[in-house]
Amino acid sequence: MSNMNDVYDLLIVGAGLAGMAAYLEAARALNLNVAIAEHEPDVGGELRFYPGFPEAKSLKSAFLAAVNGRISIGPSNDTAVWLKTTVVGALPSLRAEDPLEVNLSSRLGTTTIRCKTLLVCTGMFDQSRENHRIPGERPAGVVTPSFVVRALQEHALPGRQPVVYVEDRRDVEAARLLSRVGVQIAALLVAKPAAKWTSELEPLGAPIYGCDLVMQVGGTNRVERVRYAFNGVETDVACDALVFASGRRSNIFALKGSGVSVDPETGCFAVDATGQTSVPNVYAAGTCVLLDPEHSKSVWAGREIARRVLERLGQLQA
Amino acid sequence: MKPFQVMVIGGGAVGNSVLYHLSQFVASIGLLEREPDVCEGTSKTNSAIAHTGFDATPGTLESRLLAESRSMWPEIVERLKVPFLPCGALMVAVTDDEWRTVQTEVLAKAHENGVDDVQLLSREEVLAAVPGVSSEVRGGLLIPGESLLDPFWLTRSYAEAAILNGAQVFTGAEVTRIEWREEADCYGIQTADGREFLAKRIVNAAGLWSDEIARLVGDQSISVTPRRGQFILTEEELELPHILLPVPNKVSKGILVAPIVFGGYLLGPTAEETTDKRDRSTTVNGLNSVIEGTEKLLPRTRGVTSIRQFAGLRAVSSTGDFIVRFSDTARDVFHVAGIRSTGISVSPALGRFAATQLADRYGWKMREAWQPALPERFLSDEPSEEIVCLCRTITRGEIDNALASPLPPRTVDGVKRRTGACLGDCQGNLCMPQIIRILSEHHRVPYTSVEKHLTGSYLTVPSNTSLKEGELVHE
Repeated sequence: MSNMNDVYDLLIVGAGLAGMAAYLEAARALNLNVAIAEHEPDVGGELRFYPGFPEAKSLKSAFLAAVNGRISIGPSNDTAVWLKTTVVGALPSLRAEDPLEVNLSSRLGTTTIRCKTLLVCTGMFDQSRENHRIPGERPAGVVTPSFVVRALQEHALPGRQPVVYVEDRRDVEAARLLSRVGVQIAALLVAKPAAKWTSELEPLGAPIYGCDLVMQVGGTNRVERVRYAFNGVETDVACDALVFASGRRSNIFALKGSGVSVDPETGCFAVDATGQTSVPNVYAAGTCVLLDPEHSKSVWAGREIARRVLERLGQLQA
Repeated sequence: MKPFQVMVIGGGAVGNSVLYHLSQFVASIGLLEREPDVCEGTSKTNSAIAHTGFDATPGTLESRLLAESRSMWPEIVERLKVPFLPCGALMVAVTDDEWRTVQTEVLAKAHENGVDDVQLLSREEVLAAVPGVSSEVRGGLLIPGESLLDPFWLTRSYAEAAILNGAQVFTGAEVTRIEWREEADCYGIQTADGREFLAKRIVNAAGLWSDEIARLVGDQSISVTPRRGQFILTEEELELPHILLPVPNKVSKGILVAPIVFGGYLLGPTAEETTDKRDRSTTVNGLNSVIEGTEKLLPRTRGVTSIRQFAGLRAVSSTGDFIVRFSDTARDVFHVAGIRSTGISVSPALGRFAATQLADRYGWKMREAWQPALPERFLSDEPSEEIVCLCRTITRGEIDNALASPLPPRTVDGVKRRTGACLGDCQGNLCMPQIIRILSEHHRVPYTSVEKHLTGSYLTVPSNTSLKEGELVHE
């Protein structure tokens, strides 16, 4: 375990839309010691891979310009962006005016840093087939869109003829991505809330079926078929993969054990109007607070909560 | 190539325990496991309980071996470092008939089986012991010796310790043909991938497929049918101090609620006659009947959230008891078949029993050099604290340590069983691609050849396009 001597004014957890926006806001204040820790090997969040979320890429460019090369793998006093660095716990301070202790895991080992404020922008993750108790066998090839994006970075696909379940904007993007990569989608199973995107899905050239429920997965080693129901009729579709996600959960693992309150209904961090959680000086912003598949408020939330933090730190620049 | 003294067929808890106990007598032994990893059969789909045998049918080999295993656990746990928790089980009677049955038949059977530390509890005592237990409770029976363990660890560690004593374990080795080779005075065992192994003796510990292995040596005396059990796994805190058992019926132990030694709770299993030895699917009816069973004991399981459901298949022999004997028709073949429902629980004594039978017949003595214990941990050279599995906080180092063991994982489920990765909320969707990369690099195999669990369960297929920030890079 190593300690870094500086006390950071602000540590941001997660360099997705909200985290990058928060950093850009905080960077406007001079003389502030701000760092951002990102679990993945690169910044930008998952959205930077989807054709339909161009704001992710443009925000990343602005972010990298502001960071100006001060990036490292693992935490460092000399850099502002720490990649492959995961916050694994935060200890609230005994008195509100004392800094928090935050533990980071990276290839350098476990590092403890102290910061006056912590802003968690860890986003959300998909609820998979298992969360929805979809019965049937457990073959390889049942994945969420997140898996698809990560696999593509490794020159790999979940299958050559996947069934893709479409419920929200991100699923539409995953289907578009698979199609662009040349995958022959076996079927698009479109849930009612996603019917408005049918016109975007039609150009993909895959059969489009309405879907109320994915009912069963078949196949012992790899996926062989998926059964779905629509208006009371059940149909089997032959395929070799199922891309399925329905609903999301907040990524709260960074604050495991810190005592931070979680909304029992949504499973998200519970925050007040200023974005502060139940633990003083720990803030949260973005989709880890509000599970929005459109990510429509993430940039705004990151910027806004960062402003509140700067106000508190007495550093607001007009 | 010198023939193995013994080849064990089947890498479940039973086969691996036989291998472990055999390694005390003879070094030149091997094990053939069909799938890419051990523990892919019933050994991974059970309630993870070391049963005392309080409810076994007295006079059977099963009950005798359960009794012997009871006394062996402390030593096995210490030697193999098995996560093990003697939390006890509480059988809850929710009708007057059930309460009568507990006080008479169940209690009597426990004593007949030598489990004398059982205690009858009054309704008030059960209500006090288990918050939220059914208000219909009439009384209960506490069986303090019932214990939780990690069945993956147990199964694997038998094999690891055997390997450290000279045994060889071959995975991805499906046996397709067995012939006696007169000129070599031993068996020639062929596998689906074209290899051939020579062995003087065979132990048939092939679980659901032990009847098929028997037929390969011309022995038609064994018949095994599957009986499916479906489970629901939840991470909700059910605040259970003990395993909760129903009063059993004729067919099975019933649907129970058990804490899991590494976190969470298991609800189940059902007991369904099936015919397909490969069908481990869950069904709506099955999962519903799990909840119908558990809510009788613990009403709040009605609305429980679940992160995973699965099904296992018990190996039921046509005789109704274990088949543990030399083959009557094939020379030098020892069957360990039809180990139904209590395979994990009997594995210590059953492995020792089988090994002793072989040692007696072939005149083997115990080897002084036998090292029964595993080292505290297997460690990679430079364990890294980089987090791979976010929801379980599993580091790269823990995965590398698993890869440094005598029986390293080759599959994602193998990594999962050894480290806990992929068992959390995201069910591997965030970390699996990276785990595949780690396996691909370690074993020097293509990324797309890495399997999930069974032979042929490739997780990905090759793409000739890759992805950089939404920009496609065509190869």
